[in-house]
Amino acid sequence: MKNPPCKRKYYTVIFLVVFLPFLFFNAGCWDREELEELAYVMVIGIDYLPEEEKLEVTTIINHPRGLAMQVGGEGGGNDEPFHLITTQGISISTALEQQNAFIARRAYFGHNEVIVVGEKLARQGLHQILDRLIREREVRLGNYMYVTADDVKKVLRSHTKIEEGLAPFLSSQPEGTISSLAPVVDIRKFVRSMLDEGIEPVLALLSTRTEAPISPREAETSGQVSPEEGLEKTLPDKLLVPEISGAGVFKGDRLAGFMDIDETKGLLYMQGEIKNSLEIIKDPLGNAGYITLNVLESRSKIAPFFQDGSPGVLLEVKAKSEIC
Amino acid sequence: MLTEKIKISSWQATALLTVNIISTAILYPPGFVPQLAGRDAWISFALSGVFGLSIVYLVVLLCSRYPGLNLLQIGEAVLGRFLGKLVGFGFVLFFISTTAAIILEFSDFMVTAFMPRTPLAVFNILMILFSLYAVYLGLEVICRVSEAAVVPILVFFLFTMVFMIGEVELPSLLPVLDAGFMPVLRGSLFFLSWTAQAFLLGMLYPYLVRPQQAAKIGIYAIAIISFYMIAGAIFLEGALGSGQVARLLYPLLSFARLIKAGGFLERLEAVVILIWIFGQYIKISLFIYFSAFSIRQVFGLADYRTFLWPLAALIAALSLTIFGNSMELENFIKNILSPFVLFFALIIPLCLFGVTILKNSVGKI
Repeated sequence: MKNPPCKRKYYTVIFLVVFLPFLFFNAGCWDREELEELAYVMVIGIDYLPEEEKLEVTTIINHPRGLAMQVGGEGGGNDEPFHLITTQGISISTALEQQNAFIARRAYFGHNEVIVVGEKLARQGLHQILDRLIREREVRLGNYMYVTADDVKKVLRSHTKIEEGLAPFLSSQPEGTISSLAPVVDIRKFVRSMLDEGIEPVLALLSTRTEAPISPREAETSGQVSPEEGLEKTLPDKLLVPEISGAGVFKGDRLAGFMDIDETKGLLYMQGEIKNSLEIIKDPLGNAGYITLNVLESRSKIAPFFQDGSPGVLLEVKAKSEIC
Repeated sequence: MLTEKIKISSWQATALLTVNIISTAILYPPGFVPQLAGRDAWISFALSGVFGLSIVYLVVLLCSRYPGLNLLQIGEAVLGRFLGKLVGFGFVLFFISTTAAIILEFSDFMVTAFMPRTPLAVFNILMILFSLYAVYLGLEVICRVSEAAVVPILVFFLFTMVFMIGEVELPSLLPVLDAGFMPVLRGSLFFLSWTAQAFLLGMLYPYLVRPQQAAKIGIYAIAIISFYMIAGAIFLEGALGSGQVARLLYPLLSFARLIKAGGFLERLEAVVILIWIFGQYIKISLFIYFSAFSIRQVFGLADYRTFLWPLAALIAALSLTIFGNSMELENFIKNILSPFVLFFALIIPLCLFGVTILKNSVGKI
């Protein structure tokens, strides 16, 4: 209306000349990331070395080629589907920087799912590493946290045969059926209970156990595996298996002690976080034998009181269960 | 003086105010208010909503006495030519400097949260150029864009909250007012610099199709914003705890990254960013428009489009030089923004209103 058609065309040309070059910025020149130039870190393990006064950081990195070989089944399958790197440094960042000596890719933490903390570091206090992690651009607050009394490197080397590596085992644990073994804690929950009054953080305790594998012969005779599969190749002498074995209790950001599986279960009942658990009771009618209850959900009520000048807590747990 | 024939429906004005305020309100306040008010942050947001309503009431009361005039023209009508121009010039400075600050807020967010290696100037200049297009097309177009944007923005925020509802522990909101009322009040005064932006209603007033609904527009906009901020504060407190929220620079971003709905709907932050940028784009367009508009008004120019490019260059340069680093920007937002906005949003309208009443009563005698 206002502009004659020729003038309009003129504007269109200006628009194209001025704005179209900016489409190039869509590629994100400075911060572009190529998928094949990233190393996808799945698990970070951190421990403290008292002699060197350094942090030891171990990362499990996804190894796509190894994964492809395992799935495809061709080629000797020498490549593991993941890759472990251990480095040391005064802070996590400096330790991670060292890893560039071993991989020609940038470590990418956006897909990281699990953080395993060693006992020595946990006793020192997690404040510094948590500060680094929650400010990190890539690490998510939803990463699950575990504490271990073992050597972190050893724990990270363990793997189950069902899941491919440690990362799926630890990150599917919280959603799996045995979640009621140990508290499910991510960075968010940890920092929250660390900072809030009246609650202290608890982490699931991770340990390892060596298992002698079923010998190829044994496996063959039991009829589970056919002899053609050549088990000698794939079965190592000893299997290092991860195990959830309780919980580590913190005071503030420092580890105070460990609880075993039963104590942990008690804690989870108190918090009303039991979602799946088996309980065995004696037959209430006095008959011989036991009744197994499958607890489906539980709820707890905590009522503090004062009696004779000393505080106490009345704990009421209501659970819904089925007999099985 | 030329007045364009701009017509804004009540719904458009509500959408414009809502998007305008909420697009930057979700960046810093969810983290800064808990720093001041702790777990009572939601009370702070509610309180500043109430304060914001009083500003809306004041502005509408003032504008309804001068139908057809915007805040700057009222200034000239009430205070006379010289003082009115002075106030108008103050508004020019206000709009230009806040525009620069908002643009830097946007690009600083992009750089700190996603693209650390990209220079700020890229985001600043791109945003200004694209906003310039909207500004060139005029206020009506900005209104219509915000009308289109408001629903996705609000719905998506609801979605992020719904996905996280299982993680919220309401007992952590107790005890209420543990540390007394002063921290809450300070938090609400800080957030007032956002709700007070509802005074822009005074700039839109003459173009409203139904000016009698102006108060309603302001109330709805403030109500929507307060609802979202209060809900956001409760969710953040319930899911993260105020101690953690206060340590995060962009708590809502971290919150959105936590979403794991049904084990497959993850990593929704890209959508969140998309929608935030949309909101910020509207806000920046609106503020550039008002900068240009107030310059035109004060200097009595015919068309604001003639000096849009130099103005854009000025704003781009300002946005790059006004703050040295992100800590300075944060410091400005924490300590200076509130009195700065309140001076233009509350004190100037209040003075204009006082002088109007004084004049009327003197005239009657």
